[in-house]
Amino acid sequence: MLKHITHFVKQSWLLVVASFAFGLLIAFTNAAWRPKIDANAAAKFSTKVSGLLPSAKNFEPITGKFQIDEKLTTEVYQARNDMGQLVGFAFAAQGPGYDKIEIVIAVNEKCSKLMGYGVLVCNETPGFGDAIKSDVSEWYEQFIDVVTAQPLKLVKTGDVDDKDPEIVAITGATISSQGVVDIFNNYMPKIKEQLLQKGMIQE
Amino acid sequence: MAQVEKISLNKTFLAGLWDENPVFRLLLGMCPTLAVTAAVKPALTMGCSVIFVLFCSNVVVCLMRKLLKPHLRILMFTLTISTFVTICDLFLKAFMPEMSEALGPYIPLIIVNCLIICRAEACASKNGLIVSIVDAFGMGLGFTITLCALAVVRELLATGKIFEVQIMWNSFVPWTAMSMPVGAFITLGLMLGAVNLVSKK
Repeated sequence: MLKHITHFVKQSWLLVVASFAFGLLIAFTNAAWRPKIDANAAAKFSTKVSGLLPSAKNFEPITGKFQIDEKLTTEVYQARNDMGQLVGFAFAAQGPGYDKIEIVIAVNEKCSKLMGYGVLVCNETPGFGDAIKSDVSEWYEQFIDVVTAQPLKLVKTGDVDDKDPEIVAITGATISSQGVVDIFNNYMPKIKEQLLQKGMIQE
Repeated sequence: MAQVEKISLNKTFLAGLWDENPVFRLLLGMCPTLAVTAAVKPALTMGCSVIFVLFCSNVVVCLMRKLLKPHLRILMFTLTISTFVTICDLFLKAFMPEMSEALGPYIPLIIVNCLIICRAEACASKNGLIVSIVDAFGMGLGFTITLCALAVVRELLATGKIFEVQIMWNSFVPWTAMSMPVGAFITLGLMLGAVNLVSKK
């Protein structure tokens, strides 16, 4: 038994020591640069939201995180113009595509209509799924002014100009397209319900 | 002896630029070559990232070469390379977020770039520190120059600009196809042919 253990240690000690050393190196590097990475992510979120709600001048987080499921929570921001009037809400949302997709969703002040979305994190297939990042495409235009009362449904063919809950998928990128639609369907009802509970919107 | 060693270092460095150019001769790293050369800036960023990873992995592999077990060497190489690729990825996310977004999944894919594991196996695990460092810089620079050469051609013909500076004449009609995969394959193929012609292969 001791012979086996000695043989194992002789064969693998370098691997174990290197794994530990490299792990420490990555941990220290991450700790040193994480604040900068988080600041970049926050700046990107602000830029995207400002583009989705151009009349908004201030974004205040609503007290308390919004629960999406057992593990997922998100922070919802109320967007106000320079007169202090509420012009909409914005929040980050995430879900699976081929890889993780993270987007920021903006809705109007009654949470009845989508104002659009912006992609924060996307590692979908270049040339196919990464088309979800474009905000000047027929795919993206389908999400503007769509009512939030009904869940979105992904279809393979249809009229992209119709402002209805049927979203025509990107050709060759069904999984990425379904990922975005699922994110909307997962977050919208729960965000709306909790905004109603907090008295931020009326039924 | 010193003269022989000096010539050898020169030869090692220059090999990466021409005789053993990673893209045109060894045909390694084809995926980033085709994917990130639509513009010069991402090509340059990818090239510099590869130089950093090559340098660090060659140094580390060289320092532990006498301790490596033959049946575990590939595992050790992969572990080493992935550590430095992760550091590179974190650096880009922190200090060059636009480039990190533009390059997307191609930075983590440096881990499986055959050029780096090839140099670890062929050079760093068999030679001293100075030779390994010179080889890393030679190969990395050769890779970077090749990527930039492709990117210059593609960006110039696709947009008429380099680094947002208008180069082509005002009435130039951009060849949009050059920014697409078809342009990448055609440009690479023509350049490979030109290199073979010059080398008389």
